[in-house]
Amino acid sequence: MIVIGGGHAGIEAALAAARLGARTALVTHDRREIGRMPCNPAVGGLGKGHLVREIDALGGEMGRAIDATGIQFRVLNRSKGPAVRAPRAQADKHAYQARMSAVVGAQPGLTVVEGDAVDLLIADTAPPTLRGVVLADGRELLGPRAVLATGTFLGGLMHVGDERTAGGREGAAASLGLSGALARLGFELRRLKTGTPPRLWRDSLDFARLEVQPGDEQIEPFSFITNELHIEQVPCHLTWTGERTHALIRDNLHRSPLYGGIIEGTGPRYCPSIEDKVVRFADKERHLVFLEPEGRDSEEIYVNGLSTSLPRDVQDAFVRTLPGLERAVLARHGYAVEYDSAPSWQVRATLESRPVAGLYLAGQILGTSGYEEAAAQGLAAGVNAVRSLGGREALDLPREDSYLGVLLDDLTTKDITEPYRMFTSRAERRLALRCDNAASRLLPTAAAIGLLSDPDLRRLRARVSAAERAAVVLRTLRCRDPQHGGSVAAADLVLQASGGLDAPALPADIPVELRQAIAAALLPAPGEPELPARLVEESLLQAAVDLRYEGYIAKQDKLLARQNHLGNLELPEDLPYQEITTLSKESREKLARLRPANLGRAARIDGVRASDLAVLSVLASKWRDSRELP
Amino acid sequence: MSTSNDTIVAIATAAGEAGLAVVRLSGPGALDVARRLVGPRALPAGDVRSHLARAATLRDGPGGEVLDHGLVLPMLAPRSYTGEDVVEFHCHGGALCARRVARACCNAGARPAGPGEFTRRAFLGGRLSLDQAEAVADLIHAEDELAGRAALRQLRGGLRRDVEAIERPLLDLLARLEGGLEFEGEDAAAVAVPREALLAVLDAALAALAALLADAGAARRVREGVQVVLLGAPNAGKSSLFNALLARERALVDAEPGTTRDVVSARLRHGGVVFVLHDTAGLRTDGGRVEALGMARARAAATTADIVLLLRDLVASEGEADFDGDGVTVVKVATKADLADAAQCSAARAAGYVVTSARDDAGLDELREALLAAAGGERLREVAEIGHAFNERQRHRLAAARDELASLRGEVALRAAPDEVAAGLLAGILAELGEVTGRVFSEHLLGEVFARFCVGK
Repeated sequence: MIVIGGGHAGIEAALAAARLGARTALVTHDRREIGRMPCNPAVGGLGKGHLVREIDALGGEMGRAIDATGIQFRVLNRSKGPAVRAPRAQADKHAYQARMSAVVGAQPGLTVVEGDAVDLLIADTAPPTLRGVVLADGRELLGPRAVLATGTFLGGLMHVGDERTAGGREGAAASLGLSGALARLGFELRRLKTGTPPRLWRDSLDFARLEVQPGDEQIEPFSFITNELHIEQVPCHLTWTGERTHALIRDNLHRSPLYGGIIEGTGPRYCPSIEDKVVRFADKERHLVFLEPEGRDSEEIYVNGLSTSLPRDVQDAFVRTLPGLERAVLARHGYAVEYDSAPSWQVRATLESRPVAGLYLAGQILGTSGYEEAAAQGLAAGVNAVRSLGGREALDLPREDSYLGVLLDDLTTKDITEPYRMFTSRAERRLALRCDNAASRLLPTAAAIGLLSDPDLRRLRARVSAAERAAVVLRTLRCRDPQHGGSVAAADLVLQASGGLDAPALPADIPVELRQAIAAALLPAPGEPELPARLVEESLLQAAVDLRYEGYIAKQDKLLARQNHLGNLELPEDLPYQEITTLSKESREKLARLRPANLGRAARIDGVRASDLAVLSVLASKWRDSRELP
Repeated sequence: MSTSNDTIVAIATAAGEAGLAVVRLSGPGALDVARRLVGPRALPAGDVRSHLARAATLRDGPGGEVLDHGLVLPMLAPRSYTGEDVVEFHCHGGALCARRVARACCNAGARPAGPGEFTRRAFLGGRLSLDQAEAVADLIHAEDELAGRAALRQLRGGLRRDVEAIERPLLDLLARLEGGLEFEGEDAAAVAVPREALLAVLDAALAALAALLADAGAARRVREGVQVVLLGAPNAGKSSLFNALLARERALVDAEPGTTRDVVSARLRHGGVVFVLHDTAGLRTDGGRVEALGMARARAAATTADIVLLLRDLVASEGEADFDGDGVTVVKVATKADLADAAQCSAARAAGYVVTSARDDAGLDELREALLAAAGGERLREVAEIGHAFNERQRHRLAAARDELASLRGEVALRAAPDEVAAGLLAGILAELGEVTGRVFSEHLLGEVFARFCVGK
């Protein structure tokens, strides 16, 4: 197994493959750069924190690494309901990188190969099959499976004003050979763009003028393996742009590669550059800016919210218009980077590419953005590649059960034209896909994958069964209502006492009989490991929320089932969509490209209509039985 | 082989007046649904004889109102048109009856079929040969196109504006709710929706949906005729009024004897609107039937009518009859004015009665105008001119959207649902509306958020 790229996707792919027993090589330009955070020094957030919890439950590395190296932890959306609450942490980016390099380096069966992959070795079969990888210095790595996780390095081109430098990130060379190889093998490539803000020297900031944003008093870790975290947290700070900032940017727009038409790639709308914000939302008087330390001892401050590719002198000037930044000195300037991606309709839900058997793609190369999205794909690609080597079926990760499933399904059913980021609104079953129940949702899959060590799997099981036992108590027990008298359902009491769904926390005041029943239910069963207090509390809250939400979830599921009542009808891989003239032209083209595995996926493709689905439901069975169309 | 997980229902015979109407059920629950209408004796569990029709009394669920006396014909999988379990009800003609039976099927767990759905199930059930596949595909496509064109026609003009007026603010609300959930701090505050504003949007949408449903009802009334049932005590003068109303328009009356055995129906045109009058005076009291049974049947008919003419004999000693049906407009009519004195007549007028006399045709013009007003009057004519006509499936979805919206409003008002729940319920409501208009919003929701709000770092 060969993994190309030592970023967040490559790490998970390589670790998963090696841990599952494949002899694995991780190809990277520089082994010290494994696990680098080239953009914001943070992990988690809405949708992303959900992904990290899932990666963690399945035996991935990201959650453990951020728990070990985070310097500020916050749970976002505490007041907006349990389904959209998610952990986020500022990382000490150097510590994170050092830890990932060490974990990769110490992993038995995993060899780090420093070099630049420039070409793929292909066996001339139909379809072509991967044989190995060629490095720039002529070395050949032979292996039947490879995961391409090249991030922004494929044809990477960085822009600052009219300066253009080839490279995948500041100070790192681009990978120029592979794009040609992919194009030759029939891949369609598309230019995407992303951006990063300037970094400031810490000692050039006037902290007295900045608003402090502290971490949570009690830290909620990412990984179920972490017992408790007690660290001294480092605060972030807030400031904002003003009219002077906006005027400076407007006056220099003609020097922006973005607005000057030099950048061709499409950037993400949800992560707009400051020039974008100023132009598109001209009536907004100020834009919030977060000053995030890049590490506990780092002298550099990441300026979250000021992503830009304006020339250096403009950046120097406009940064100093923000309160507290009057004397700020830029350690590094912001830049935009354009890179080649291979639109994701070219992979199956396993992340194996359609044009080349044995070649898997993961991360930004598929058009996503974000460390967490990349790590999730790396894990899926690594596990699936190894399973296919052993002739085992691919992971079954339906979008109904996990954000990972939503991600993989979206990648293979949507024509992604801008860098894709996870949002909770992408999950139809958002109320059921919560951070607090990731363990319950993914335990069977985690057990089937086999990445968790035996003690870790036992711990995950104990966490799941604690929630199940708590649910039984909450569902069946009624007790006296301490406020209004009479009897009341235990679940309602727990939620009432805990501040309701808006701000669930552990119940402060509940009757003693309920407390005793709950405490008894949450005790470990014989043979089960003991859980730390925070996981016990999480189990109880999960059970309470599950009960409170089950009506809503059932209602949504009914609607989904109606919209998707033939969803499992399989569509043959080789169905000749282009010949089905009864399909609308738009549908024909999209279906031929995306080749959905079943009717449910076909239904989610933008532009495919009810009548198209009806036609497909009819013709698919004809084709499957006779390889003929009428 | 059953390829579906739900059971669909449709009126299989063409719309309009005919002697017989067929309502067809298909799907795994067809027998269960049918059994709720005809009872276990007509369809004995575990002993249903396929392709054998039986006489049955059709009710709106066990113990429910009697809808009709007809035939029930089960055709078990795979020996049916769709290959699934199919049950047909052969009931008396006329839109009123078939519609009531179809609606009762929905109450019992079926859902209205979509365009081409029976044909598609027929293919998936393996009941059509492979050579027919292309033809079937074409047919489904054509049916859908037709439905689409019809829907487009419906959506042109006033109604389209009505639908958009409901969807737009709800979509805007959903975008704001989602923006508030996906982003934090100042970004979220910028898109936040105060509870009062949220309630105002929901209330406006509820009102607009109610109006639209009224239009849907009006459109159906234009298509099928306004269903009017005469109700009253045995000697209140129903038959006389029925005949008097029709007598002056002898040329325009198509008496339809035999459309039902228990109810006599006839069409009356007035002010550009077709009314179908149902006279329950034809109730048979012979053959040992008791009057009470006839009254119950008349009342059952009245609950699905558009208008009930509630008759009261001015000179009889008994008080006024009462009737209370959901969505039914009641017009109170005093009869036999020729036998009453002036004081009695003016007292009745003061109590909101239209005072009539069948003997000397007094008050009949006034009654016709009252019928027209009760049918929707100007709005009905407007709807007729716009030419839109909701089908039963669309009406079903709109009603579902209204119910969901009402329950969401309740949750929001009680502060029972956090925003993530409200957003989910709202998305479900937009999905219901999307099934009426054929539009899907989910794909565009995030786009809407990003286009309108400066969110994200």
